[in-house]
Amino acid sequence: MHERARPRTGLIPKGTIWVLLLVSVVALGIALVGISWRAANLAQDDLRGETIKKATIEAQVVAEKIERAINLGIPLDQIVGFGDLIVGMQDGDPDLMFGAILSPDGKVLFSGGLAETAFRQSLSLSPKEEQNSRFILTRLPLELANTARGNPAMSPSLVIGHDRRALMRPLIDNLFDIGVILLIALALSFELMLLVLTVNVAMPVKVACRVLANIRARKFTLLYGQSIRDDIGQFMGPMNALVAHRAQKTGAAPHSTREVRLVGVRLLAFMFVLAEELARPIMPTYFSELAAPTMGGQLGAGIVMAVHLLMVAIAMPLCSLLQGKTGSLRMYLMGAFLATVGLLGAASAVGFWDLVVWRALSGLGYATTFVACQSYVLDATNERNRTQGTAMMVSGIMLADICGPAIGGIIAGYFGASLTFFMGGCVAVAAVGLAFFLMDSKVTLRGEKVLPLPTWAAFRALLKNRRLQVLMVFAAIPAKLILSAFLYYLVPVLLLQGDATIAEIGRVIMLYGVVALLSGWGAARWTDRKKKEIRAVGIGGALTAIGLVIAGFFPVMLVVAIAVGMLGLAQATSIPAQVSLSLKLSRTFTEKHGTGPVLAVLRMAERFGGATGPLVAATLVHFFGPGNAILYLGGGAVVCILCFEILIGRMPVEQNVAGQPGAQK
Amino acid sequence: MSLGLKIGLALFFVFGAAIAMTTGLNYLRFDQTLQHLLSQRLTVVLSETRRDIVSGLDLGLRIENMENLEAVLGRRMGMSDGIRNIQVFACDGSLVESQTAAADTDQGNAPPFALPQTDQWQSFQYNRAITGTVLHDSVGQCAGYVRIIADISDAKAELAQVFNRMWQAAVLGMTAIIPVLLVLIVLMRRRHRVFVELNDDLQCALDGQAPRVPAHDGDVLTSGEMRMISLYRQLRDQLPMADTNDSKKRNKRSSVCNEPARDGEKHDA
Repeated sequence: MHERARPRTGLIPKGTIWVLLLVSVVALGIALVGISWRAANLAQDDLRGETIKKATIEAQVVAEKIERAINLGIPLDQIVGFGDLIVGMQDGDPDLMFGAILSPDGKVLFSGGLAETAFRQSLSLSPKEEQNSRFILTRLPLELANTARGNPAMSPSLVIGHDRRALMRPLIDNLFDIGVILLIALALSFELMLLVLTVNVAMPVKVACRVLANIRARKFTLLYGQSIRDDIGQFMGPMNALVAHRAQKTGAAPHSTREVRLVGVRLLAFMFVLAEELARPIMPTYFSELAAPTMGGQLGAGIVMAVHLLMVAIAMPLCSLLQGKTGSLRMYLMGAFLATVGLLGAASAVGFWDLVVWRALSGLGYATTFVACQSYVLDATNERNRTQGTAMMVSGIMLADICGPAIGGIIAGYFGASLTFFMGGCVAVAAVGLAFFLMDSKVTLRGEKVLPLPTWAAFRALLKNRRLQVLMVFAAIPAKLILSAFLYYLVPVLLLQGDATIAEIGRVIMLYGVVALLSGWGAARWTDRKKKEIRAVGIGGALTAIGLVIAGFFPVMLVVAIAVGMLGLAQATSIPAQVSLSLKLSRTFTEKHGTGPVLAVLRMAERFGGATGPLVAATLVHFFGPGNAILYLGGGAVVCILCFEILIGRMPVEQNVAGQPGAQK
Repeated sequence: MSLGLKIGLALFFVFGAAIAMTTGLNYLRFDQTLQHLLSQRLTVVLSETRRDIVSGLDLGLRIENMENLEAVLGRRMGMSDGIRNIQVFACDGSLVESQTAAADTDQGNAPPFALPQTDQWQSFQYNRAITGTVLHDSVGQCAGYVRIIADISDAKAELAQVFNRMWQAAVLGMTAIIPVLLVLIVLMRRRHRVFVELNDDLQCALDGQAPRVPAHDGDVLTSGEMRMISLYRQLRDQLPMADTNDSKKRNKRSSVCNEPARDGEKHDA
């Protein structure tokens, strides 16, 4: 009788927060379209004036040439090459659509740029109608010696027409950028809302549910430990009193339960990746410019990028060892500080060697913050919610992968590479400030029992696992190598060579994250359901290879964008499957030592693959050019995936060497 | 700080950031387009000036000996009203000829000429646009330089005006948040009503009475809250009686439970 919650279908999400989000999206969309439209209208008036000034000068130039010909004794109707003159002018002014000489009675004597039929009608329009025509017309009477001076009506005239759409170009050019801003605003809105709702609603609700379930089970051992000042807290206050009262009667000692603020780590992960990803679209070109005086620009850029990734690969395991002593918060602060110094240094770098140092510092900072966030999640979760905690952090990173290059491309397009790195540094500084609020300094929840550390003998045994070797050499390492070589290096270089803007490059790189985010969950679910990890790794490798080969044959923006999307899908399919497969292939080892060492080895191999990617790409570009480099990389991907498919089933299965005497500390 | 205020602030921040970014982007693009048009206009004048001088060079004349140079520059100056100076320099950077617009009384305004590194150059400084090119003779040797200085203060003034208007539009665009905040207020009030009802119902439950106040459980923000309320409903009838010695509280609870059901209107007032 009292249950009056409205019935909901599966399509409509529960809770009224969705109403708010929907209204926000619509209102924001309307606001952005409205202000952009207003901006375009404002711009139109000024641009029309400037276009007419330019057109008048162009008309004067043409008229001068015609007058010169007439003065040389060539009759007006026998002038040749007028069309070529207009076409030549179009090279310097792409908005110039046509030019024509009209006789005093309005007949078109000569025209160029467009066929007469295309503009004839526009010439007879009234000035008011002209405002809505396709062309901005500029007319200039030709003052010829044999015409009645001072009477323009008796003179032939020159008309040139400019494309009216040029006035809307600021708006049209901005459409994609505004779309990106809307996307980023939505992502940011989602992040902030998630943070506010998780801290103020989801976490208290979770604790409240735990307490209520405890009461229902008549245990009376849990007290609600979240804030009791909000609505949920005021509702749970009497419950706490009730629990305390009942516990007193039964002689039990109830303890307070609360949730660790895990969601903050998502925002922190988002911020440190965003700081790094902002400059992604301009890295190869910026680095090659700075490296050019010291060594070949492309090769130098490859080395700088490789140093960064290599530092990440080396620093991650070392930071993992140190994390226990420093704690997550302190480690995050150190990492964010290093990243800030590195990014600000890269913004003001003057040459190759200092750039290498700054990027190495950035890599160190990136690795440190990553490990800090990861350790925080591991410390703040137990076996029950560890996957959720990790997924929360990973989704923050994925979101930054999407937003970073897109917004960085826009910033770099207007303000240049240095300022983009500087902005990255500012984001890293902001992350330092936020870390104090979002990371609990004392988190000790880790619910996993500590497994014995494996010895070198056990490690050697693990590395001798032939199938694991095949997985690492032909799938894990190539996957990351191709990712860093193609996405981080070759795509910006190739597209920039093809006259793409930096904002466009950012949007193409963004596609990787979008596709990976959208397809990741489905791909992982398919792999889990079918239990076909080898197949998933194979599909991922094949998708990568096909995309690269096609992009190598047709190195144009659309095809490259498709290849980037395919890479996103491939990585989303292959990477989780590689993790599952590596654990499956080394089951004997994991039973004794846990999954950590296997994953550490896999991650290490991947990261070294990633570090070599830019070097390989730079070398290929240096010798063959970007288009062919993609093709050769695609060829390498084909070879790797074929080797993987052929060898993975033919190699002997893992031998139980890990369990031999002396293999365990 | 209440939950509604926190959500409102987050939304305000997001709206502000998105609108500011879009307005900034629109302004930058307009600035870029306007600059591009100015640049095209100056380029046309520059290339015509260069052509006139080069045709003289092709006849074997030296720049220093061209008698009609002043007339050529004067004619080109008349092509665009924004042009303040057209100057011709010898290859060593010494001034050969200079034409200044009648409106420009201060000839000393022109910046000093430094030998350029490139064949053609263009720069925009404050209210001034400068463009120039190197002149080559018929054998490809340097014959001199021509430089045009234009006053772009009108364009800058227009730009400043558009800047103000765009930001006015942005402030107006921020009003789009008003309906969102209204929706937020309504939703938060409805959510608060749910919890007030729940508290009342809890008191009734502790007194062992049946629920009287109609529930609006669907008005909460998230599905998690719904689950929590559902859990409470499941255990409501199992809730043990509260401390019976506290008669004052008990009476108060009873008064809440005995109130007639009015669809929660007392909480909305």
